Amino acid sequence: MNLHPANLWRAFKASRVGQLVVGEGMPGTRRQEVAVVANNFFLHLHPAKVHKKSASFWYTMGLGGVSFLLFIILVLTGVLLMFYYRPSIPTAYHDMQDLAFVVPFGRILRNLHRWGAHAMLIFAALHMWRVFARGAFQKPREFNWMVGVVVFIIIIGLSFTGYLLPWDQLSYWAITVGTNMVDSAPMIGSDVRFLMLGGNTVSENALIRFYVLHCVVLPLVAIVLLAIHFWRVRKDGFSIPGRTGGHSGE
Amino acid sequence: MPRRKFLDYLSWAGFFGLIAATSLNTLRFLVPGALEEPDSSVKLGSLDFLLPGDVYFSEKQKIILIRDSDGSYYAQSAICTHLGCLVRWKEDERVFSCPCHGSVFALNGARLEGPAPRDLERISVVLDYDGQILVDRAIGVDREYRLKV
Repeated sequence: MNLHPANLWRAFKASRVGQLVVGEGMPGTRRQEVAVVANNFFLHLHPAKVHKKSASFWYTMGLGGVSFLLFIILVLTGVLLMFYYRPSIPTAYHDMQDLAFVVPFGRILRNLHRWGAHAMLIFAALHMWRVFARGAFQKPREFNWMVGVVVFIIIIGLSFTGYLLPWDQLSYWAITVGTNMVDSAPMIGSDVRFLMLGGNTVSENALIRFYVLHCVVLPLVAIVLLAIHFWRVRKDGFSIPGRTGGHSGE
Repeated sequence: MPRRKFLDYLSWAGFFGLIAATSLNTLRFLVPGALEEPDSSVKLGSLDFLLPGDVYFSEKQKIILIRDSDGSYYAQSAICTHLGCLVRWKEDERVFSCPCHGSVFALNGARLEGPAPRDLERISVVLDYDGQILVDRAIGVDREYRLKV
């Protein structure tokens, strides 16, 4: 048997598994060509039809896309940081120092995570501003606007919970101040603060709570909401510049 | 009410009841049953712990003990009344200043500069049974309160 890569690739494509992964060959008709794009998740995050004016880069400026790219960067770098970081009072700060001084490429990963987080908040806010300024939140996209607002709150929550994890003076007092703001909310403020911190002061309970929220709970919620957000972009279609409630999707 | 409808209501009530009970218990789970937090009270020493006019500042206990010129003691919380940061004792200016947002308090806790909304909180200082000064951060007292010696 000829073990040339091209031959192996052809044999793989001809197999049942290969057909399931890469499809059954090139499309023959116009209908099949459209189906290839329309049925592919990655080629078809956008609606099947987009108005020429909406497809212009300067209409969306790709701000939502950049936010999502940053989200992926944050997930990847965050998972890698989790291999070294232990959320307890004796270890948290030292693990962060180790990441900066001892772990190979640790400093760049941590900085990518930190600057990526700042950038995602900025780009999500810009995305929100663009959608608002262009009136792209109007019917039939009101629901997706609301999903986006919740995603933005989740992003702020991710930033806030991540802020405590280095366990230095800045994070300690920032979370003290932040949770005291919660404390001043009427009726439930002090109970919510107690629940957030798992106690009356910023302590190890608070560190673990923020860690679990930062690494598990909030990212899971964000992923579910982002899936809905993207699916609705595809279903609701793009808004068209200059047209109130314009519709150019499916 | 027909039997079928009654059972219908009953099963929905059971379904939502179960969800409500599980949610409440999950919330209850998140409230810690026991806390390992430092004691709010601290014993500092006998009545000659400070000389009249002296200030004792403890970052760890978050308390300030002051002996007035007439020899009486009073204590205040070192937690800023704005958003809960720990104030700093500035020895040369004889004021407490908050590093977070710049509030300044006089030696007696009076607010000199915002954004803090109130004076520093006065806290309990008593003479314990063994003759030691006992300061308790958890017990607030009014501004006239003094431990007279």
